[in-house]
Amino acid sequence: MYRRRVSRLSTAIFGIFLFALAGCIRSAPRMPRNLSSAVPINYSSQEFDDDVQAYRNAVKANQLGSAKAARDSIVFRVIAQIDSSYGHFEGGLTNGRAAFQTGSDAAQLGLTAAATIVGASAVKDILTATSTALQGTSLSIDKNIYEQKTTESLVSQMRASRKALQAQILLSLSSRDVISYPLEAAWIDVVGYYYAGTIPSALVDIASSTGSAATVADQQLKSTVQALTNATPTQAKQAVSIRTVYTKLSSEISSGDATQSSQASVTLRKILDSVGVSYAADATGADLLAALKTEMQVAASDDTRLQKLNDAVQAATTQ
Amino acid sequence: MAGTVPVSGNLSMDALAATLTRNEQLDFERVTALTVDNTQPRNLVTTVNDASALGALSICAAGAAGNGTKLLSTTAYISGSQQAIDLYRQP
Repeated sequence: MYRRRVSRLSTAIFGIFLFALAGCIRSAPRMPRNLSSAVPINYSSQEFDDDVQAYRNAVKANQLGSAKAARDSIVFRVIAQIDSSYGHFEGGLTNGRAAFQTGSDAAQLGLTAAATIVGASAVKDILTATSTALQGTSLSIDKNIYEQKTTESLVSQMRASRKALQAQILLSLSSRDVISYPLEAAWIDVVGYYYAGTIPSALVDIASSTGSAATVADQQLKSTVQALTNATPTQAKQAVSIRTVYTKLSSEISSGDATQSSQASVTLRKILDSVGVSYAADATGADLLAALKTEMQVAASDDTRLQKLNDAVQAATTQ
Repeated sequence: MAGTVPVSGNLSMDALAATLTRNEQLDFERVTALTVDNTQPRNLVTTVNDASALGALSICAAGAAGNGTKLLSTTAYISGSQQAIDLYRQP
């Protein structure tokens, strides 16, 4: 009696599960055949190789207009393929995850209900354990693959990242020639565009854009770094002067002459002490030089640090 | 960081040269291209990593006598207006 009831319930649960997984509920109207077919944007390896060769030949012949047209064509064709794949991926992610979650929920409800109805202790235990395992699996997938982010937030992030990168690529293609933006540079951007449409990338982007104060500060830093910091002729002279000293110290450190190297290390320590850069007590000359280089790179976009570093270098080298 | 980054289009020739020089010297880079950004009045500079010692840069109007070795002739935004310029590397 009990076995028959459990059997019927299991069949019903299985039916619901299959119904959900079968994707009977459409999330979008059927795509026209011409649009869903990838034939118009097929880009064979041979065609790609030919186009790249044509691009290189044009560059070699200094036919920059033809080279730009070839570069743009290659990039657009690859982007079209990425977009086509992404469309299928996004649809599959949305429908597949929803189907799994719905099926999983339905099965859990069924198993829980069945465990309540049946009286036999052994069967009840099996049903309860199965329900718990199913719930655990669902939670584990959410936690380990999607890091408990909803499908909407993942898709939203991927779309935003892709849109930003696409705009950047289109801008570069339209405003720059093949000298300042060669195919290789465009290719780097296209690869980044592809990865922007992946779940790992979306998770990283979400984690780094949580709106915290640290993130805001980081974004401000990035925006500062993105554009060159304006400089005056005086600051340019300071930069040249610092770099000249760096080159001299670098030469002395690697000269093989112990005395020269030691003196250079003393000078480096004075400079680093003056600007407040810490270093290990047993730092080698190369370590100290690397610390100075890092400070110089910071000073490239920080007027105050540049002035301070210039003062330190002048003081240490004129003593 | 080597790559292509924007530079203000409101700088004078001297200030633009100083800005490029500062970046080259302190960030261990070398300018390879300078173009206008067609979307807004600013310039785009492309650099590559270069650890060798380089002289300062200077900019003058296209065709004018410059100091050093001419690196490139291009069009850039100078004080907000597009202008043909020559970029020189001082010895």
